[in-house]
Amino acid sequence: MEYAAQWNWVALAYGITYFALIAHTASIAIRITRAHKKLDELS
Amino acid sequence: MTANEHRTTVWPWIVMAVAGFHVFVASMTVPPDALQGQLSRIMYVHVPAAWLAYLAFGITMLGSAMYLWKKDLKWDRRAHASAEIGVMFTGMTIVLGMVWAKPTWGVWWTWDARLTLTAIMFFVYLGYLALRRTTDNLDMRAKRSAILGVLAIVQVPLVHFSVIWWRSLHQAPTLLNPEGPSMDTSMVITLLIAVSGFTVMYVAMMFKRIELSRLEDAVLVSEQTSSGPIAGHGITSPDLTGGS
Repeated sequence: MEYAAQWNWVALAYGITYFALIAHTASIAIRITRAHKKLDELS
Repeated sequence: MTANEHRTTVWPWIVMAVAGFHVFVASMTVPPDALQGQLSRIMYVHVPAAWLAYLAFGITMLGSAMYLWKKDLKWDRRAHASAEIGVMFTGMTIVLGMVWAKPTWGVWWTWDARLTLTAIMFFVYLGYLALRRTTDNLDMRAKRSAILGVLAIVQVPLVHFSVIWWRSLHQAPTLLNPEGPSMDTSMVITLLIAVSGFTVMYVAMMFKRIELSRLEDAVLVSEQTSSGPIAGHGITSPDLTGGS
């Protein structure tokens, strides 16, 4: 396999990894904010 | 500031960013493998993701067992937080394995024992998360999911030893090999940095996910105890007084 083609697969793998980590972290942060807001409304 | 005091910790986000940066730098600067070339770099995220899936489901089992013993909901929240993160890492393991398999094996997927058992483990823990949505009763939810959390751990050794117990296309363990790591020292060190970095990210993520579970339970309890019509606002009770 060509050298450049190998780097394309590596870029895809690292793109998926960091996208998943950032997306999951952001999801937790958003849900924490929403839960605080909901608690404010209920109190 | 409102009645619900917002005191949330920021350090887990910073720790995650720093650990993620270190993993990236280490895995991009290590020399490529003699046979696989640059594709070997995928291993520095695929293996730590798989390790984190094992660790996360192990913590889920511990949390579940502790809940069944102590009946304290804080253990249930820990088990739940770890299961959600574990599902994310298992999904990541499968997808990264596919990205490596296509240029190496020539196929995205094959019904190999390791791959199939990992996919089954992924769906069982998705089922664990779904099971938690079947009731709003906190104790019943905790009890049901704790039983599954304890039973489901049997899959972790099955997945790990599948490459030894059955003839498999997937390679045997390279780092946890009984005869010692079958890799160059620079690759072993990089892999250890990546595994440590991912573990630090898991711990930081757990802090925030447990905080979220605590808040979600507080919202649920608050909703259940708040005064309001049991049948909802859209339904009015019938007039039984006989008046016009």
